[in-house]
Amino acid sequence: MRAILREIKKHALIYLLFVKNSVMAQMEYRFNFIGNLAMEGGYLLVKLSYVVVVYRSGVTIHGLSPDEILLFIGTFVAMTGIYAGMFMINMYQLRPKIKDGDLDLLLTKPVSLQFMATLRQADVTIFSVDMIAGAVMVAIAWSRLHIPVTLATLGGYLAFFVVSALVSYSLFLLPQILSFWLMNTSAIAEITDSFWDFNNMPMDIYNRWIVAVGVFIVPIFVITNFPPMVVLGKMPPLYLAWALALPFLLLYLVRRLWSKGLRQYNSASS
Amino acid sequence: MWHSRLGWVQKYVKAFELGFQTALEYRVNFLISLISAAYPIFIQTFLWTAIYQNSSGGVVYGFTYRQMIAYTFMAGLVARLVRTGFEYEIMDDVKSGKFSKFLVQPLGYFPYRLASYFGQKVPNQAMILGILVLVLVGLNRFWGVTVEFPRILAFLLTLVLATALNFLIFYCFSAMSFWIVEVGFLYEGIRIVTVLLSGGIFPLEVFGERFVAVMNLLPFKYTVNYPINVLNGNIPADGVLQGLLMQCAWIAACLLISGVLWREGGRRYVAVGG
Amino acid sequence: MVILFSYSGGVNMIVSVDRLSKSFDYYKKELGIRNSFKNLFHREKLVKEAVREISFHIEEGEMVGFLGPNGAGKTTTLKMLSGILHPNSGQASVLGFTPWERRKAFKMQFAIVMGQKNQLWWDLPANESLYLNKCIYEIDDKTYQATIAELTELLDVKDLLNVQVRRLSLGERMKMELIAALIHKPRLIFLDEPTIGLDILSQVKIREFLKYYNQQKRATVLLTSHYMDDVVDLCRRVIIINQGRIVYDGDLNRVNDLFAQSKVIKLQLSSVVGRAELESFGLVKEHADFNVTLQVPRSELKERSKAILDRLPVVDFNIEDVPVEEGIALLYQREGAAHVA
Repeated sequence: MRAILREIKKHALIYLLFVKNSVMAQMEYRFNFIGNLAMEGGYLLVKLSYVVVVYRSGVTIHGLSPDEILLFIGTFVAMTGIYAGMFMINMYQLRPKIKDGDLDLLLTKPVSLQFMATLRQADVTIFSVDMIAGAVMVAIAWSRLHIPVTLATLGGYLAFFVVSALVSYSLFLLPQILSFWLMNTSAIAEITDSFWDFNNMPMDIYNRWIVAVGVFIVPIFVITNFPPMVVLGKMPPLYLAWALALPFLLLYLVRRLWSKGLRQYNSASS
Repeated sequence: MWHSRLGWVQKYVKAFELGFQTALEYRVNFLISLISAAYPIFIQTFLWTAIYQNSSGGVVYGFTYRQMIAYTFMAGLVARLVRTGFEYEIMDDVKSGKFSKFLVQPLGYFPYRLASYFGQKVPNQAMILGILVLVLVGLNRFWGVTVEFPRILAFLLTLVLATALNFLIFYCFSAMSFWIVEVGFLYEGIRIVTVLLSGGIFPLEVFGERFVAVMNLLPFKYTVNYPINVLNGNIPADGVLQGLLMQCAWIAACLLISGVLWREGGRRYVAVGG
Repeated sequence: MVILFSYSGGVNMIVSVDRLSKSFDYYKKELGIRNSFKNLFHREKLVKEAVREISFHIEEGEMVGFLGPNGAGKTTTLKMLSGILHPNSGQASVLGFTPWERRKAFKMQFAIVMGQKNQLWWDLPANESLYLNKCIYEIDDKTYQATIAELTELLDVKDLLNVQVRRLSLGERMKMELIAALIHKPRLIFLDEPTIGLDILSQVKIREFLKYYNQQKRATVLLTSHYMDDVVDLCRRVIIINQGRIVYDGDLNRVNDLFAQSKVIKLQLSSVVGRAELESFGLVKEHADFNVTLQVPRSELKERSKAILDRLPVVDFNIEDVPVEEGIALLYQREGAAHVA
C-alpha cells in the first residue's frame, strides 16, 4: 500500500514536470502560442453562438431553461479544456510514436509507459482559455439558477467532473491504441474526434434512442451531461450507478488493450 | 507567337490538373471530412427541432421549421463547398523556400494557386452538388418544397462567385505566412470564425438585426449565407442583384488588398532571404 | 546474500543469452489502386528473421563490442535485451531479470543510448530533461548534484547545461544524451551506435569517456557500432553478427588484424587513368571513370598515399577502414565454415 502511494506521488511529481516542460517549450515559439489562442478562441466563439441561439429563442427545451442549458454548455467548454489541453495532443502523437519506434526509450524507464506516452505533453494555453471560459459560464448559470453553494452541490459537481475527465481520457484513447495494429488510423481518429462536439448541447435534445446509445454503448454523453445533471437534481439512480462504474470499466479496457497492443510493438524495425 | 501563348495557358492547365489529381488522391480524406461535417448538421437539426417543438409560434427568427432545417443542411454543404485549404500549402511554400521558384520562373503564383484551387474544387464540388441535389429532391418529395428554375441558375452563379470570393479572402489571410512562420493554428482560428460569420453554422438573422446590418457590409456572408438565401427564396428578386453586386465589389476589393499584401510580403521574403 | 555468493564464485554473469530469435512480419506492397483494394482482403505475409538463435554471456565489468553490417541484427538484439522487443523464442537473463517482463527493479539498473533516438526535450535546455530523469529514477538531490557535476566535467559540457538542446551541435547533444542515460549510475549500459554521424573530435572524446567510465565504475558495457575504431579503442572482446547469426565471439586481437591490416583509399581523379597503372598503387576494388577505390596494406599506407598524390591527377582523396562486411568475408575465409556457426 505504501509502495503504491509512493508510486502515485512520484507520477504526480513527474506530471508536474511534464506540464512545466510543456509550458517552457511552448514559450519558445511565441507565434504558436498566439495561434493556439486564436484557434481555441475561434472554437469558443462557435460554442458561444449556441448559447446565443438558446437565449435569444428563450424557450424551455424539453424541460431545460436557457440558464440550465448554459450550465451544460459551460461544463462542455471546461471539459474541452481538459480534453484538448491535456489529452488530445498526446493521443494524436501516439500513432507517429508507434510508427516511428519512438516508444523505445520510454519503454526502458521505471515509470508507467502508458502514463509517459499519453500524458507527456500539455497545452496550457488551450487548457486555460477553455477552463476560464467554462468556469465563468458555469458560475453565471449557477448564480442565475440560485443553486446554493454547498458541499453536496459543488462537491458533487466536481466529483462528477473528475469522473467525466477519466471517461474522456479512456474513451478517446481507445481508438488510438488501435495504432499498434493498424498503420493508418487517422481516418478513425478524425471520425471519433468529431464525436466530441455531440456534447455541445444537453443530450435531452436528442431522441430516446440516441440518448441510450450515447450513455450506455458509446458513453460520450456521460462526459458533459452528468455533472450538471447532478447539480440540477436530474440524475436518475441508474445513471448514478453507471457513472460510478464506467471509469473503472473503461480504464480496465484501456489497460487490457494497451498491454495487448504493446506486444505488437515492433519498434519500427521490421 | 501562337505557340508561346498556348504555353502560357498550359502551365496553369497543368496546375489545374495537379490540383484535380490531388483531390482524387485524397478522396478518402474528403469523404471522411464529409462525415465529420455531417455531425454539426445532425446536432443543429436536433437543436432546432427541440426549439420549434417547445416554442409557441411556428416561426422563429423569421424562419419556419422547414426553412430552418433546409438552411441548416444547405449551410453545412455550402460552407464545405467554398472551403479553402491552400493557405497551409502557401505556409509550407514560404517556410520551405519553395516559393523562391515562383520568383525566378515565369509562373505567377496567384494564377498558379487559383488554377490548382479550382482543380481541387471541381471533383469535391461535384460530389457536394450531388448531395445538395439529393437534399433538394428530398425536401421537394417529403415537404413539398419547390425551387423555381431561375433561382437555381442564380444560385449557381452566386456559388461560383462565392468560391472565388472565399479564395481571395483566404489568399489575403495567407499573406501572413511572410510575417509569421508558424501560422497553422492561426489559420484554423480564422477559418472557424469566418464560417460562423458567413452563416455556415446558424442563419445570421439569429444574432439580431444590428449584427445582420454589419454583416451585410462585410464580405463573409456573401460566401455562404447569401447563396443559400438566393436558393431558398429568402431574398426578393431585386435583392439578388444587390447581393451579386456586393460579391463583385468584394472580389475586386480583395484582389486589390491581396495585391498590396503579397507585394509587401514578397519584398519581405526577398529581404529575409527565403 | 545472493550477490555475495556470486562474487565469491568469481564470475558474475550480467547478461546471459540463450538461443534468442526474433522475426518480423511484413507485407508485400504493390503499387496501384487495384492492388490496394486487393490488399484489403488478402495480403501476402513475409517473414524477416532478424536474429536467429544467438547465445552469449557477458560478465560484470566487461566491455563488449557488438559488430556487424547494417541490418545484421545488432540493434534488434539490444532492443530485446533492454525489454523493448519481445523475442519469438529463446531466453535471456539480464541483471537476473527477464528483460521483456519490464520489471521496475530491472529498469532502475540499466540504461540504453541510441545514436539515432533522443530522450532530451528538443526545445528545452538539457538540464530540464536531466531533472526529469532524476525524478523518474528516484535519485536524491545530493547524489544528483554530484553525478551531474562529475559527468559534465568529464565530458566538458558544464557550460551547455542551460542551452536549448536544439541549439547544441550533434556531438554536444550526444554527450548530453549520455549524461541523461548515466544519471542513475546504471550497472549495465547498452550503447547503440553512440558515435554515428559525429565529427572525429567528438568521437574521440566520447570514446575516452566511455573507457574511463567503464574502468572507474565497473559498469558493464555492450556497444554496437559499425566504426571499427570504436571497437578497437574500447573493447577487448568482440561479438560479430551477420545476417542474424553470431559468426565470431572472442578476443578482438584475433580478428583485428583482419580488419585493420588493410586500408581503403578512395580517389576522385580529374582524368581517366588506365587500370594497369592503378594496380601499381594497390588492389583495385572499384574503377568507374573518375572514381577509384584502392585497397593497400596498412603498413605501407604512408608511402602509397604519397606516391598516389604525386603521380595521379587527384581531385579528392579519402582514407577509410575496410568495411565491416568485407572483414567478415575475410573472417569466413580464414576461420572456415566449421568454426563459424
